[in-house]
Amino acid sequence: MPDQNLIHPILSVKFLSKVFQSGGQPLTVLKDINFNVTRGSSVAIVGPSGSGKTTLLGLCAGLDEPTSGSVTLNDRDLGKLNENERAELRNLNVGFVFQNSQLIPTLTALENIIVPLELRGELDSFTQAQRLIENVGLGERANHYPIQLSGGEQQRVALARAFINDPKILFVDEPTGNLDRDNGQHVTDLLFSLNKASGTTLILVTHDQEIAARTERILRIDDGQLVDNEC
Amino acid sequence: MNVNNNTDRPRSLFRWMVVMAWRDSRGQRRILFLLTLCIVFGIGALVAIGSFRHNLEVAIDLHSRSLLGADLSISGRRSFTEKTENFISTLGGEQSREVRFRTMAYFPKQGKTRLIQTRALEGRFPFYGEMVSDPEEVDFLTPDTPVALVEDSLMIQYQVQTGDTVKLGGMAFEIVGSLKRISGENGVAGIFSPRIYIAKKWLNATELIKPGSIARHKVCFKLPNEIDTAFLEEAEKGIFAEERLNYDTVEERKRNIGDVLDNLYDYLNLVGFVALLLGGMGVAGAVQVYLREKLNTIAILRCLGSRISQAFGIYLLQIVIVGLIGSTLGAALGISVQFLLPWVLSHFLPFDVHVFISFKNVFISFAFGWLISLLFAFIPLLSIRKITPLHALRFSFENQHLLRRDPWFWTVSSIIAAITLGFCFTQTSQLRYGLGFAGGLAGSLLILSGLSLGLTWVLRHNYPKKWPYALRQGLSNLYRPHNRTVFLIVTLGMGTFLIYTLYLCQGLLLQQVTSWGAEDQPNMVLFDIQPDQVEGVTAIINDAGHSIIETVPIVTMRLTSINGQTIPELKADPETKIETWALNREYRSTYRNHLIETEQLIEGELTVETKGEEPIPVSVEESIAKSLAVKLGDRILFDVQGIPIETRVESLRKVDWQKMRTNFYVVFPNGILEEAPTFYALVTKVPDRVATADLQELLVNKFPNVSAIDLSLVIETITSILNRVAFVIRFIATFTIATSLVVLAGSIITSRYQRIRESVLLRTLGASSGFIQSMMAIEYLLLGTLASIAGVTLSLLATWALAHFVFKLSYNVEWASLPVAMITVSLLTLIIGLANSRGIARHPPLAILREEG
Repeated sequence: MPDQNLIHPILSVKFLSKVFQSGGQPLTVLKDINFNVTRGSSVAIVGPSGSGKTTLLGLCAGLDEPTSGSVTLNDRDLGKLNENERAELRNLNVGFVFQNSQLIPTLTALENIIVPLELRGELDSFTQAQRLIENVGLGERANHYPIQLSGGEQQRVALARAFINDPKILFVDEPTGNLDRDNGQHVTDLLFSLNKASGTTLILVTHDQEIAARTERILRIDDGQLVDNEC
Repeated sequence: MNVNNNTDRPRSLFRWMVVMAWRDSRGQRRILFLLTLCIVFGIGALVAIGSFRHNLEVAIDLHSRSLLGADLSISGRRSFTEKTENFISTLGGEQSREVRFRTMAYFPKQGKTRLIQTRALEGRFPFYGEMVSDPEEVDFLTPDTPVALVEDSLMIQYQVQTGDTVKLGGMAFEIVGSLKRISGENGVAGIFSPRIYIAKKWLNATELIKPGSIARHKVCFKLPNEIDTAFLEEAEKGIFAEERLNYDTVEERKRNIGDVLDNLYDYLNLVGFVALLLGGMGVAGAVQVYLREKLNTIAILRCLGSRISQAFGIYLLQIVIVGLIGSTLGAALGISVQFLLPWVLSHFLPFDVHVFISFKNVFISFAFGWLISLLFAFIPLLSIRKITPLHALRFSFENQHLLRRDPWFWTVSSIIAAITLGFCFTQTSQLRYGLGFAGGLAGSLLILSGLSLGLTWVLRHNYPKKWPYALRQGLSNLYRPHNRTVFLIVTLGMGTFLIYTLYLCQGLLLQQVTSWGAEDQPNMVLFDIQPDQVEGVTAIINDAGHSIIETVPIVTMRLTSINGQTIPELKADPETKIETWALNREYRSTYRNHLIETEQLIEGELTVETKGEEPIPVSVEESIAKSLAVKLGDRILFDVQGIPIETRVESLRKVDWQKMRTNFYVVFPNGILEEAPTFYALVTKVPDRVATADLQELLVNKFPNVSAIDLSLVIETITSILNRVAFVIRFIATFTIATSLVVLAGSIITSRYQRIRESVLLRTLGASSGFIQSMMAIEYLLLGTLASIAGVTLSLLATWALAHFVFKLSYNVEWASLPVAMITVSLLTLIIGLANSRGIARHPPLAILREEG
């Protein structure tokens, strides 16, 4: 029997290219990227600034459309989905953690966490959200607004929000980029422990070699091309 | 996982959108409140005017009979002939008679004279409605001694008391009371010529009605039965046409008053609509900035799986609710204001109006205002559809939404344009006025937008690199990304334009009147002078040290036929383009061998003398020639007090009617009218008001039938009326001004969000509060100055167009007011801008960042 993970990887990227128009000139950001990610695994995408890491993450998550090539996420070809179908796919299968946490400033910490469930029509999931916020150590600050939280606390709330919908795959963009070392360490530990507990596939963009080393596989990208694919 | 079933999900998602709309408004309610205020005044104006219109309609129906005071009235310029009297007697019912004419009133105790309107009444009048006097129901008809009822405003002005005497012609009347109001006539009627009522039995004794005197004879009827319309139509073609009589019925009067009030309503509604449009632009601007702040939130929601429609729905819901609150506040304001309108319009309403809330009209105006605000808000809302979730990761330059490529933008804009056009068409009497109004608004918007875009272009391409840093920063704020230059210049400029145009128009009309009093211009006309009085009147004027500028003979006549067609034939001709009033009127013509300075020959030649061979060559004024549809060579048969005179149109003249001279429709050559019954007018120049009063007193004592129109009286009358009209205009314009101020404040407050981060960054890098304030002051001052220059320039253009095409006046602007208007607007912008930015400049950077989020 063939390995189901090889037949149906959770993420499959084929000949992916992205070209932007900049000042009327084409600017190739990604060129012929190919890789698969197996379910439950963790992958780090590393590379220098401007190499195309974040663009690749956005394309894998269906936040943007490629110039050519394809992305298959949880057996769905993103190129064949319209914007609303991609939104639904994200809501049901994907979690996000951004570099600058990206909490909605007008919602409290608890309200921020619950948004993905509310988007599914589940309006009474505060117990679940309360449990998660306590898991990230912010139970006492559930009703605080993002502006009343420190950067580390904001990122912990973002982590709780990312896991609230039991995502099949989690996309994380420089989770410690805006944090000091201690807070960064705390957030990273929390990220990996929550990920392990939920068995979620993890795609992580980072500069930090230490964090990358904690994943099962590293994709190295330079000048828009995949230069190393180490396990 | 607990995912709701398919039936419950849409309901849950709607609930979520409502909850999110509420949550998302936290911390932003100041902007949302501003957004609400933008439309409050516009909707308030429409609601007040709309609901009050319904009040007026009800009042007109309720007071319909009292508008005329009778069931039917018949009037003519001459005393009724036997034929007319026979006709009147066949109508039956209760009758009352009135002779109405202008003459001089002299108050001996006060030593003052004034041109007034005498109404000599016989029989009970009005039959319906009331004549309100002080004391109440005073009797001036039956006493055996001559008594008069005098206009209240005249008594106040001349400090006349009940019991004093007023002299009309050769007779002194004891004043028995003051006339407060008479049903069917508004207060403005009394400003032109104050009314004095006397009993008709004293008329002959006054010796005021002489040959050629201008008087209107009227008979009013209270009929036992409904008037037969067919009978009146028959009479109109028959005896009324033959005897040059006019008639009025309750229905006719109702229609006329309704038309006048409709015009007033339409005008006020247009001003209110402008306030609403301005508010709509304010809403669009505020929503645009509001959404710019929400860009990230929307992108995050999209990342987390929100559909475009859900994100759009959250903000649409907010705008719908805010619009609803604004419209409700506007409706409440409008209802309150509605109760003030009877007071504001008191001088123009011919009856008391019972004010009640017309819920139907309130709802229509409310819904209309709400719709307009939503449409304006919809334009910036459209950009939500194009916000990519990628923005949460980083700003994507590929996805900037260009509105002009969005078909929805053009659809919504077209709907707004169509509503504006439709509204203007329904509110103006003629299609071209509606088109002109809408075109003017659109043109102003385009000019202001073009100007602001031009400014940003010029600044971008000619940036002054060597100027001081604060100045350069202030200037560059005008063209950098997310600048508010176009929006602020358009809204500020439109506000300035509208308000200043109102001011200029009022000044234009007043200046026109006062310009009549120029050094070389006559300022007094004496009329109704009998041939045997000319010498005496001239002597009095000369003895007083004034010179006679012109002595004008006047002969009254009527039309009998034009090119062989009699007046009844012409009236009955369905093809004729001749206007009825021109056929009916009594013509007061003169004869002379020259043109005067107010005249200009435009066609043909002026014949100076005739030997009396018919047809007599006459000169006709161009507008009456148009109304009578005559051209050079056409024949007109006049009835000169019983003698037919055949004339031929030999020349056409253009007349400047605005000059204070005796101007005529028809001028005869010398040699034909000299023997006809003639009366005279004298034109003179009197140096001041004291000399005017003295001369009038001398004349009224010796020649009481001679009336005088002096320029100071005309100016006083017109100023008084313009002031009352201006008060109404200003009252309604207050809504536009209030909206402009809110939009201005809103624009500046929302622009705070654009500038706050960079200001804080500059503060962090060491910029002083003074530097930040200077930078902002330069930006706001430049915006205010440019907007005010643009607005004032547009006002000048609009006033020129109004002067030229509507008022037909020469264009004189009070130039001194220009810098005042510009400085006021510029300073107002600067003050509001700086007041709003003071926190940014004074407080520590971190505190501001925390506060602003």
